[in-house]
Amino acid sequence: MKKKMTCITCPIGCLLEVGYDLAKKEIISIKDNQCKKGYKFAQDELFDPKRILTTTVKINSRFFKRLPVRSNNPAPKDMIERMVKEIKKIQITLPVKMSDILAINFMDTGVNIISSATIEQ
Amino acid sequence: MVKLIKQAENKIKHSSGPEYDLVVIGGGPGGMAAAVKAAELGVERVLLIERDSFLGGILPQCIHGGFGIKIFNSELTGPEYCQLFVEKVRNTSIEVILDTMALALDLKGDKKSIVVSSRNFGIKKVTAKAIILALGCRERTRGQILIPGARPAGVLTAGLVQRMVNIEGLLPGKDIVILGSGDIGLIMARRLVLEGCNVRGVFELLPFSTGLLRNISQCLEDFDIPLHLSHTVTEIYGDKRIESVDIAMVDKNLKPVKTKIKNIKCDTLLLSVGLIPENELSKTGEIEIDLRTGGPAVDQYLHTSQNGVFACGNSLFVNDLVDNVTEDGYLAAQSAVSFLNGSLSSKKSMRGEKLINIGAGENIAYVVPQKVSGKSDVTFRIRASIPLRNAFIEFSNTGLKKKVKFVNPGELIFAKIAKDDFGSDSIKVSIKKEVQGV
Repeated sequence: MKKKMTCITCPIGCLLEVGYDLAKKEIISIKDNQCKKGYKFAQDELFDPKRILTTTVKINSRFFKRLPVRSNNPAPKDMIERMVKEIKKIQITLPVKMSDILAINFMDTGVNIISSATIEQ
Repeated sequence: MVKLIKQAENKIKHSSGPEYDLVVIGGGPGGMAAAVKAAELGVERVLLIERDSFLGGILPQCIHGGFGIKIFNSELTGPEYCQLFVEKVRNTSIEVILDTMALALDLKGDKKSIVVSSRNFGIKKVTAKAIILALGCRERTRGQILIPGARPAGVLTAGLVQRMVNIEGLLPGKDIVILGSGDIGLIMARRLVLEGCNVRGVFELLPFSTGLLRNISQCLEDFDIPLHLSHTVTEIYGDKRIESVDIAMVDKNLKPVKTKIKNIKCDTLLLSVGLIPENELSKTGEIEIDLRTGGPAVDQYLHTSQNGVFACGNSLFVNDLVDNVTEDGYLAAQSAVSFLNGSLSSKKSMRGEKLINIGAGENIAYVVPQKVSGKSDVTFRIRASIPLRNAFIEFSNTGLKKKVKFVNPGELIFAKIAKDDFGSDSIKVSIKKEVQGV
């Protein structure tokens, strides 16, 4: 089977043409990738698509009413929407530092939810 | 840093025009990079002025990833990129003042002076030997694209909504139509879907998107949000609050086709229709503005038409990547340092010695720098005006042609020209399609 896809690894956004075997979960051919990250992206995207999740959690600081948070690693793509809903329930006490872990192995996805910002008060 | 801010404020409040070696106006990524680099290079008295209550410019509201691939070699979110630079600012002797607006520049005398306004110390003056403008940009609004119809609430720019949702915790509405497919529009389409809104579609006047291809993929295609190219909003309906919009297909001349109009119900219209470099302040200093970029015309040192005044970031031209803004901040700081220690003499700036003019030709929106001395290598930043495959960039009067596989207005082109390739004549940069079979 063949598929065209935009590599989202970096801002160049190569338009890849990928030939693959779905049963064997193997890439047979790849065209138009400017670097080897394109191969890795195509492999993940076809057989185990993942995305970095970013959203916000309620806080009450002077200037910021929301704390930006992210997954430390890419999370399964089909879980993203459900995860964002659940993340809203996380309670935060200030101060919080960038990279502080807010939830470990969130919803059994294997990723942690971490703070994206340092907010003192 | 709070203590430092108080010290800087008191100094300005209680002295008549304190003097700095370098004043950086704007505490976003460009300004922070410029101030940090200048301090690292040994400039002692650096003042960084920011009008918001926190440093970072738009970075704190850009909660998505994709920042820092060049500068930090990892993929960070906007707030993370911001935090790393705020920490760099803290580790230097830079004086920072927040909640302060620079109102006017007076560059006529020997000392350059800046009128600043703050609720903490009123209207005061500071003076500087060199100035870096990192003023950022602002969004084009409904008025600038002339959408007819009623004037109800709920017609908002995408960046404003980004700040409302990600910082202030406010949701603008539930049923959203997005006009314009710039990156902020695409990113907000995904963000609003994740916040539970119904995004009816992204409509783009041009036959191509001006956003990054990766954003079309990960923001729209991932969430099945339709992208309609060659479409625009022709009418806004609603009394107090927007109720619907008319969407029309446009022809080759971008004129709406009257028979191809449909009405779409919505309670919010998001506009992502371009950014304009912010240069009201530059104009008070009589700095020459390039009408193509909307920012100051600069030479390869980012030196503006006014001696000792440099420009970087989105006030110079609208960038698509923060990493590039940081690099230009570094360059502006290096140039300001050269200016301060006399190695970048006024003769090399745009006011003196004959400079080579760089013009924009076929399929080019703009080229930065607009003037070069021809005495050092220059990396040109080129914005294409249309997407083209298998093309080449031509630099007239140099004989240089650079092949490019694909150009896209959403992605800035970098092209380095060695000093030996410059003659003395002005250069026109064009992008042309490769002729097959020659």
